[in-house]
Amino acid sequence: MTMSRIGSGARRAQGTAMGGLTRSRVGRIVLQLLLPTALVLAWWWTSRGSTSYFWPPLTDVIGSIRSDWLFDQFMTDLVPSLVRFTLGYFLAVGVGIAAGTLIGLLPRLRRATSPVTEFVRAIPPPLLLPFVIVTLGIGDFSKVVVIALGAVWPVLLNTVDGVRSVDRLTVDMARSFGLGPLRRIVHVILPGASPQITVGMRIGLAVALILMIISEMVGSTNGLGFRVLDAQRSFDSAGTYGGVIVIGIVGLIVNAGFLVAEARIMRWYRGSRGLLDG
Amino acid sequence: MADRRAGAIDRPQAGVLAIDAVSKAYETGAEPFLAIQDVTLKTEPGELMCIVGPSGCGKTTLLRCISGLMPATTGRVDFDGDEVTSPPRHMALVFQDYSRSLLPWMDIVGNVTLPLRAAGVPRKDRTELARLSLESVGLAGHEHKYPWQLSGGMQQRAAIARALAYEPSILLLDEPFASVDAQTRADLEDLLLDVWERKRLTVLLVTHDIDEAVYLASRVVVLSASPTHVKEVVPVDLPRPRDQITTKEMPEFAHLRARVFASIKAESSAGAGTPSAGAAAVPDDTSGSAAGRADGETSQKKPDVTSGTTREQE
Amino acid sequence: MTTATRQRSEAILLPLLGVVVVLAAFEIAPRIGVLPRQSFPPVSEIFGSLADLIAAGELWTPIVQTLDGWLRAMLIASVIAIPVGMLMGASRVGALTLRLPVEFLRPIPSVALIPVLILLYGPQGSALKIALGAFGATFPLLFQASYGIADIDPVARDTARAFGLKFRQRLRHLVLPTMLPYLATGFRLSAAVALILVITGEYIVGVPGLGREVLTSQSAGAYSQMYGLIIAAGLLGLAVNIGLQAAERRVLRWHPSQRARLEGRTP
Repeated sequence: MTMSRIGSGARRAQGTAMGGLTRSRVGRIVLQLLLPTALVLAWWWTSRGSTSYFWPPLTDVIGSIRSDWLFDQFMTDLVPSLVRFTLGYFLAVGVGIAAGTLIGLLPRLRRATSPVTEFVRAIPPPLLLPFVIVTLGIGDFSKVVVIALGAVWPVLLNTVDGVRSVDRLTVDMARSFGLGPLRRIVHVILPGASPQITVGMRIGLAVALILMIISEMVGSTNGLGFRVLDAQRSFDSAGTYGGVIVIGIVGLIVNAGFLVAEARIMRWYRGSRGLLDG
Repeated sequence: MADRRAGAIDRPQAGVLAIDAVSKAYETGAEPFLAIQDVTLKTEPGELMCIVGPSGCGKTTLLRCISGLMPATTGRVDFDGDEVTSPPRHMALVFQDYSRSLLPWMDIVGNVTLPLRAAGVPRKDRTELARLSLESVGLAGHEHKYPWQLSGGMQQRAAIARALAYEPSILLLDEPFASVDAQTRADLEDLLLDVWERKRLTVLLVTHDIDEAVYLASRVVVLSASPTHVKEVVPVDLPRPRDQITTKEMPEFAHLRARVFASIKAESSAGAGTPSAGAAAVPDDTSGSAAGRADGETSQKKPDVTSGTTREQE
Repeated sequence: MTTATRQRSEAILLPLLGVVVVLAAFEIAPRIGVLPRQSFPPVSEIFGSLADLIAAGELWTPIVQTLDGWLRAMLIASVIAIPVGMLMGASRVGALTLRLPVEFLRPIPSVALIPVLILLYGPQGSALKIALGAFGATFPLLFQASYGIADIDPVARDTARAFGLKFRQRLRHLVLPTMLPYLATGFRLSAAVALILVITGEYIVGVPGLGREVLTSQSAGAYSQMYGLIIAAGLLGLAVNIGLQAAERRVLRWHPSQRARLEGRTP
């Protein structure tokens, strides 16, 4: 146990076979594919020729995905879902940023609205569904509203935080150069708050997806959520699993799309934080 | 010695700042804190005036009142005859912290032209003004870079270019070279002199660096300790053009420097003492401007991208 | 009145004003017909129904059922999330191996699993809502655990090894203190998600608990009661959150070295 051991930990890790794997590009790819491949193989193997209702063969599941979702239910269910999702989400983003900016800029307004917003945001978003159903019925409009109603809170609250944390010096600079309130909001405050706003938008995205699905499980005639629940009710277990996988893929694509868009738009932020190369 | 030269461009406004008995009291805490009291000062058109003072004196507060960013409690500031109630059109500011005063989401030329856009200057003129001012500070070719891609000195040059493109008749600088290294500072000081001489602006520069003040100034204004007022005005008769080496070698430079230093030192020890609780609540840097807002908001939240709604829904 | 006094009184009066205005609006609007009274009962009626429920002792059973499911979900989530998270954060090998499955499962909206869970567990009993809650709660905790273990100072770790500290000692003196703030944050986030999912499961499927009470009130047209229960769910969430924040502050007071780091992070 000598002091020369200090600092050798990192070297030791690199020196092992495992460490070597992480260093090479191929090694990294292999490691990443290892577990997923193993899991898929395990699923396939354990479900081979299964007649169990609870554990249908993987091949059946994949088959149902192919037959149901490509391209039948694609048009009748996937597209309407995504349309409602997009409408609801962007409504939430628009209202959330607008209201959040207003509240963030006016301290008195913020203090007055704070207890109410804190309380409403604590309500579980899925429980907004009964509220909207009772008041607006079921239908496309009410679905869009429930999505927006749930997704607006993270956007709004993060916008308030972001606006409040904008550097006063930057705002003063804008004032010193004669920028009026509107220009200050557009050129200084909103961009300055945008890192925090995108955090809110990301959370809101997840909430919107959840509400999209839930709203289709209660009193609906089409949609991703409806289809999956319907499959379960029809004892189509392969279709149930398949539907869940499709939803997972949709979620993945939506999230990835968001990250790509964010990376482009917020490039300046990473740059200013020194996280880019020049 | 007159600072006028043959060939000086006639400006519609002369860039004269008249500060009359200005006081500013901050009302945070139990008692109002008097930052500046009875400051009276007037600039000569086209001069380069430097303002120095002991630490904690209201240099920055004064600058904010002068520039119209903050209302004075009493007294009056006039710029070219008109009272200053909000930032005047022909006054441009350069802040100490360029990383916070330049907008990281815009490129350099975007930053430089933003004030011009707000002022309604047509696109062609904007582009030309930007090009000229960037050239005059040595940043030609860097128009489309982002501030964070440039060094500190270059960023401050961009801030100066932005101020120049705005076509001011007075340039106010708040410790503009405090955040760069000594070598860059010397370069920027000379850049300022060059720009000043060519444009015939009035320049008002606040600094804590006495060497810098004496090197640059036509007159040095020494502020007292808190509550701040003008202690004395020291005319600087050193010949122009000034040079980092030869000017600073002159015995006259050393005398002036010593005189200013002694004046400040007397202020620091003579009972400026420890900052009161009020002063602690109002840091004499630009982030303390929060205290001067009408709504009394004093909290300065640190940007923290993980705060806010942390409830993660999957 | 000095600015300070004005600020203090505003800090109390303004929030109060906000609440009063909102309550008044939702009290008057249904009564004068701006909002349909059928679906928007006046606020006083809603609180009245809630009070009736409490007085009749009928609120506690559902709450206990919900909290019971929530606790179990949290337990399962912890058992999965913390070790997996630690594996992910501790080494590059771990991170790379686990990365794809975790990143694929993560964006799946937990509620999408409801049909599968109905299939597997059936709509009776709490297994469904517990599984749902556990699934959703796993991810925040997992990521926080991985951040926590990745945050261990490598020099400190090597020093501990050099001095021959046993595994248990290293755990106690090195790993745990570093991870604790992250775990605390993770628990807080996971708890919120778990509670929401448990209640959601109860509502959608009709499993006993607060969510099912909302469903039955809705089906019966007892809207005052339905709104009252929704409010109760919100209050429950707030209570859980506040409780966990208090616990977090308490636990972390034992770790002054973490305090400074937290100053900038938690409001």
